[in-house]
This record gives sequence, C-alpha cells and structure tokens, in this order.
Amino acid sequence: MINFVNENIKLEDIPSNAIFLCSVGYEERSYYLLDQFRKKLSANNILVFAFKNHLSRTNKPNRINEAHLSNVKVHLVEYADFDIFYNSTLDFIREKISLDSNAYVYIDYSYMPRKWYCKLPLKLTNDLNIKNKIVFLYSEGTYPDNYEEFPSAGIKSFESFSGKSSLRTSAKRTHIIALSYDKIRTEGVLSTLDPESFIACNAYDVDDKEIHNNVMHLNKSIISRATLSISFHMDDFSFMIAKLCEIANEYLPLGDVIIIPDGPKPLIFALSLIPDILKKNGITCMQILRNDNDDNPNEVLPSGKVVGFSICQKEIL
Amino acid sequence: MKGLSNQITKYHGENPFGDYQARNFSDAKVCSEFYPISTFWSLFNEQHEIILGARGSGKTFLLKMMRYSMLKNISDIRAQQVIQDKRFLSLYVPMHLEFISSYTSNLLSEQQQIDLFQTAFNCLLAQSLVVEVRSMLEEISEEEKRVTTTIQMAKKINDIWFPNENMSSYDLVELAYKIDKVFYSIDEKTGNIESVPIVFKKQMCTPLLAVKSIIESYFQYKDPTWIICVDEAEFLNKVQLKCINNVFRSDSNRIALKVATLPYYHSTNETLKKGTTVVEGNDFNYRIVDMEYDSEDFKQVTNKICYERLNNTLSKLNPTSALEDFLGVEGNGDLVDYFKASVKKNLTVEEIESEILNDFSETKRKGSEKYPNRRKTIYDKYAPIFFLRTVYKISQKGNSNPGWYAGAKMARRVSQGNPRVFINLMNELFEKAKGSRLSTKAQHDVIYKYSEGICRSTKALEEKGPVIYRSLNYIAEKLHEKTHGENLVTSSSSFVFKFDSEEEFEQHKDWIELAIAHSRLFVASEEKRSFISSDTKYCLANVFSVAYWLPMRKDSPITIKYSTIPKDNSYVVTIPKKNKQEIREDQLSIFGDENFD
Repeated sequence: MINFVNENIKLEDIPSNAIFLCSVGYEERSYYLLDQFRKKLSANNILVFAFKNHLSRTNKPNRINEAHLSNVKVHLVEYADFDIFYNSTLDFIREKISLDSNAYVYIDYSYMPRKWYCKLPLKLTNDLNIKNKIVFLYSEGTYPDNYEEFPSAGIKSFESFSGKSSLRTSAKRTHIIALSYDKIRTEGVLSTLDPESFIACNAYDVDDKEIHNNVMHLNKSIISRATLSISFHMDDFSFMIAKLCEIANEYLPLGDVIIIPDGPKPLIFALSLIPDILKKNGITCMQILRNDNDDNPNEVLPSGKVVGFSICQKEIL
Repeated sequence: MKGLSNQITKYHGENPFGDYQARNFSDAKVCSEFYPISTFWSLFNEQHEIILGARGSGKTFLLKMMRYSMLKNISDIRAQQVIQDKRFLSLYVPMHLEFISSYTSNLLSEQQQIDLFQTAFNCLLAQSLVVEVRSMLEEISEEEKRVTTTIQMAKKINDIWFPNENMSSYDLVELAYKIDKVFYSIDEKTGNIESVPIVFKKQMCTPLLAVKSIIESYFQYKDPTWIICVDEAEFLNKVQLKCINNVFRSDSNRIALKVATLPYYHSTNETLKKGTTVVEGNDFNYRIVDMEYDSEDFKQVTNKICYERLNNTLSKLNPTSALEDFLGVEGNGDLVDYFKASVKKNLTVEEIESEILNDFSETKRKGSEKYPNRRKTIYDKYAPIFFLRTVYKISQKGNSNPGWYAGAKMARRVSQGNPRVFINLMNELFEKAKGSRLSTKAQHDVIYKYSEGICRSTKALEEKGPVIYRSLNYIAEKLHEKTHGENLVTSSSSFVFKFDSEEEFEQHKDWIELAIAHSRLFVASEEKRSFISSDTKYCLANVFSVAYWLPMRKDSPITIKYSTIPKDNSYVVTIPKKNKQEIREDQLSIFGDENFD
C-alpha cells in the first residue's frame, strides 16, 4: 500500500546525497529545478531526459549544452519512449541506492509526458522494493497571456490508461473531468465523450485565488451542467488523492466511473492514479493524447513555486 | 394566448428540464417520456440496420425501448402487440469508449484486436441477455414455477457457456458473476484469451446463438428474431467495424443487428474476410432517425416531454399541446402573427404585400407587375424574408427587443427535430420563466442567446471545431449580407461550395462531415446515408439562422468559393490578466489583522 504525503519543499534542506531526475526541453520552467539541484548535488546524482525533436521544433538553443550542466547525464529520447525512460530511471535509482541506501529520490515531473510520470509511483514501489522516500516535484509555471492551441483529435485522442470497465449496461456512468483556462479543450472532450453525467474538478495555487475564480468563471457553463464541482489546492496532493478516491467509491455503485485527467499536472497525476489505487472494476482512466498537429510549443516560465508529495510503502499490519 | 409559464414566476423548485440525457434516466422515467415515433415500430424487423442520427436525436432512447423489459411498461397497444406476437426479442449492447478502447492498442496485432473485441462484445451481450431473461422471468406470477424455470434455465445455459464448471446456486446472479469473471480474465495487454470459454471467443453473438433455443422454448417463442441493439458505434475503430460488418455478411441465424452511430462514422464496408465487403441494400440498410422540426413525430415528442416534465408543476396543461400551453401563442402561432406583434401593427395581407414591393429594387418592382398569382409569387414567397428584415432592423435599435424568435413553432424550429437540443432550450426557457414573465420578448431573448451559444460551442467540437466554426461563421455572414442588403431578394440559409478541383473537396470534406454529424449543417437524407459530394447542397442549422438573422429556408443557395474560407484549425487560449489593486496604507481592511485598542 502506498502512502501519499504532502511535501513542503525547501531547496536548502535537500541532502547532498539525494538523487534527482527530470526531463527538459523548450520551456524555461523545465530547467528551474535542475538548475537548483545542480547547485547542491554532484552531477553523478542527476539524470536528465531530453527530447529528440526539441531542436526540430524551435530555433531556441538547447540549454542542456550549458557549461554548468556539462557533466550531467542526459538521455535523448522520443516522446513515446516510456520503456526506455522507465528502464533508465530504474537502473539509475538502483545504482545510486546500492551506493547509498538512505538516499532520497527527487523526480521533477513538470515537463514529463503524462504517460511517463503517471505510472511512476506504482511501478517504482513495485520494482524497487525500497523504503527510500521518493519525492515528486512540480514547478509551477507562468504561461503567456495568449497562446495558440489545436483541438484534440476527437475519438482517436483517447487512450485507455488504467482500470477496467464493467459490464453493467443499464447503470448510470459518471465521468470525472478537469477544468482549466482552455475551455475549448474541455468542451471538446465533452463533445466527444457525450457523458451521461460528469463531475468537474479543478486545482489551483492556494496563494493565487484569482486563478481559481477566473477558471470557475470561464467554465461556468460547463459547471452548470456538472453533477458536482470540486476544487483542490495544488499543493495538497494527499487530499486530492483521498477525495478523488472517495468520490470514485461513492459513485461506483451507481455505475462506472471514467476519469479523464486534464488541467494542471498535479491534478492530472492524482486523477490518473485513482484506478490503480482503488483496483476496482468499473473505475477507468482514459488519457487525452497530444495533438500531433501542435507544432507550436509554449514558452512557460517558472513562477518559483514548487509543490510536491512523497510516496513510501506502508506495511499493512 | 398567454402561456401557462406565468404560473412558475415565483417557483423555487428544480428545473424539470435539467436532466437531458436518456442514458441518465431510470427505466420508469424513460417509459413515461417515451413517445414511439413512426420509425420506432418499423425497427422491429429482420434486417441488419445502421441507425444514423446526430447526438441527441434519440437513438439511445429508441434502442433501449426495444427491450422486453421496457416494452412491457409502455402503455401502447402496439407495444403489447409486439410482446404478444413473440416475434422479436431485443438486447441492448452499448459500445462505451472506455469499454472498447482497451482493445485498440497499437501493440496488439489486428487479429489480437479482433479476438479481444469479439470476446469482450460477447461477454457484454451475454450479460445483457441475462438482464432481459431476468425481466421475462419476473412476469411469471407463480413463484414456484418462476423459481423452477430459473433454476432449469440457468443450469442449461451454464452447461453450454461454462461446460466444465458446475453451479452452486443455479440462479442468474451466479451466471452474471461467471460472465464477469470471464470478462475480467481477458488480458488486453497481451491479447491472451486462453482461459476464456470457447463460446465467448468465437464470432460476435455466438453465446446468444448457443442458448437462444433454450430461452425461446421456456418462454414459448417460436423462431423469433433476436435484435441486438449496438449503441455508440461511433467509438468503434476500423477493425471493430469489420467485426460488425462480418455479422452483416454472415448467415443471420435469426439475429438482426441495429447499430446506432453518427453519420459518416461507419467508415468501412470491409469484413474480416479480405476482399469481401458488405453492400448497402443487400447486407444491411441505413436508417435515419433524425426528425424534421415540423413533423408530426417531433410535435408529439416535444409535447410529451413538456407534459411529463411540467405536469406536476403546472395546472391545465394539455398533453397534446403542452408546449403551446407553456409558451403561449401569438395569434395562430404563425410568423405573420409574431411579425405583427413585433411591429405592433395589425397589417393586412395587401398592406404587407405593398411593403414587400417597396422593399424590392426598382427593377424588380417593375418586373413584379407581371407576376401571376401575386399572393403566391409575392406574399408567400417573400413575406417570411420581409418579416425577418423588418424585425432585424427593429432589433438593431437601442433598447429594442422584438418578440420574433418566440412561440412553440419557433422552439421546434430551433431544436430542429433534436430532442436533446429541445430539452436544453426548454431548460433555459424554464429558468427564465422562474424569474420573470415569459413574454414573447423574453422568449426571443432566451432563444437568441441559446442559439448564439450553440454557434459559439461549434469551436469546441472534436477534431475540427475551430475550422468548422470559422467556416460556418464566414458563410453565415455572407448569407446575412445577402438577406439584409439594401433590397429584398430571395435568400435562405443554404449554400453550395465551389471547389477548384475534386482533390480540394476530398482533402477537406472531413470537417464538413463532422459538421453534419454534429447538426451544424444539414443535407438531404440520401447524402447522410451515403456520402457528400462536391455538388452537395448544404443548409446551416437553424441555430445559425437565428444567430445571424437568416431565413430558415433551403431554396436559392448561394455559392461559396471554397478557397476563400478561413481554414485555420487553431484557437487562442487567453489567460486573464491579474487585477492590479493599489494598496493604500491608510486604508483599513475589515479582514486584515489590525488590532483595535
């Protein structure tokens, strides 16, 4: 059984024997934590994943070549290379833990594809069999005032991620969807899935209530059609998990619960974990795949705020 | 005639139109609201059919109602006849996206995908069968006979489906549990179905074929046709559609599939046998369930919905005119009545005709002197457009809100034969009526804003929303320019595209098909069944006609050169700027933490 614990990250408290993993790319935000950790950790304890198609999508220089990152181990991977990413991650952690069994593992998922990070907690606890603390970090970002987006590719956009549906043909299904500034995307999801009923959730920085108010206002027509609307604080991952599990358990007797993760990454993360945590038939998660037409990466700057949570295995007594 | 909506001006209860999804409803509610349209009874046949209809057109409702468990609750003599005739038995099998997406992984070979899908489908079908059989057993009033029949039937079905497994309790609950167990043993990652009993692994519908004679014998059905209602087939990929087509092509064995999907989503006629395809007319038929807004079916459906949902709230509601009763009627409910109310003049036909002539160009006015049958060639032909132009001018004046888009007929027009659109519109009208009198002006305001909202939401349609939105917006504006030009001319909401080449049409037709599937564009029924061509004539949805003040007519299409249409498929996400509030040091804050001595 996994325990999810909120972590109040203070970079000055990071032990020097910690291990750090991240992926970097176009967004300045993706380098924020790497730059911080590089000041504290030796290059040997850092593993970075960079995407092969970065250079083809932009004229922006690839920052991974900067001097202070010169000794850091960098793996160039394709976006879809989950197995390569995971096996490299596992090998790296195992190697470092064999040298120092008390080392903490920090994983910055701010710039990782969701199919990478959403599977990590359960896979790592299964495969590592360790008592080490694994901390997942998210560096909040500042988005441009306006940015171009492309619609999702419709029915083909949805991929089964976890969980299994039931055979209850007459029961009332409930979808759990997430809200964000991209109302068009959310409406697109609803137009494709045409849910019988849905619960709308959103997550915001507790220090920036205005974002929450803006998202709620922007999405009020969607919220008016929802069975329930629930808001989370981005830094309270533990509560997110607990509440989402509770909601899924509550609605499951009525019919299947289908989770469509979206919105900020901590919310995507929490939503994606629910079927594997609860392990109940009838609770499923479907991920929205990225649109391959989207050739315009967005510049996201780091806001300086980092939220995180840790996992550790809890023995069932 | 004033509407009964006045009775709810201070109503604080729940909006009865808030729930619009048929799939949400309890069986009792589904039955109470169900109006068997003319298409419904004709679905009880022995043909494989693909049921085409837009979202919200009522496909799910129709298919669900075909089941024995629902038919027995319909108080209609025809329903009782279907049950008594014992010629048809229906099962409902929905292809939810989360159900079928597990079997579409790129890591699986096509054969693995086929095996997995057919196995999963068979499990779902078997479970649906158990549900229906349970419902039929409930009709046996003698308890002992019911129990005996259940035990015997469960055992016989178990012996066929699970030949190596005994039953402990010999009831249908245990049978359902075993089907679940088979379903959950399917490994969708590896495609391994070794442990699945053989009858579930074979072609679709095999579990039914294997046991149907048992069920028929116990319930004294003589060689009935089993109708398998496959819903939400728009989520099936090409491989899965081939499985469906394979059933179409095979020997029917008294099984008929009714496959509900969106127009153009039945994207292949291939079967599992290479080189063999299904042919419409031979192996299956298309059936369109979309209703016309002015059809008797839609009128009855809307009145039934209104009556069932408003009956407990409003008194003196007539079931055959519930919508008219709720909204009220101006005069006879015709366009001319709402026109006269909007201009506040009781004009005669001759006076209107004279106004129409004044609105013609000089040349046309002179030419019209030779028109035969002036009532038909001038009044009937041009009056609706004249009314629209005049009322539009009124609407453009400050603080003027005409009561033009109002009344039952207009509500049906805007809904365009779609029950879900109608219910959503009624939701808005009911909300308005709760707060204030639902006058014709208030109705106009609601209908206009509702139509605008649907037009805007086009941007969010799957896959091609932005390009559909931009294109239809462009076309609507062109039509608006023609309608509201200096002089009155023949105009409508219809258009044709002029493509530079056939290749241009082929490259871009996907967004057009999507617009049709989502009821933003309308075409002739034949083109919904088969395919659109570069010559197809289109009509904007009536919600666009409302939002852009266009005549809701299909004649006199304009030609739109395709290359002039904006085709950008992106949209802009705007992050609202933060409010910068100046903090004054001398300003007290009630919610601050100052200490007051």
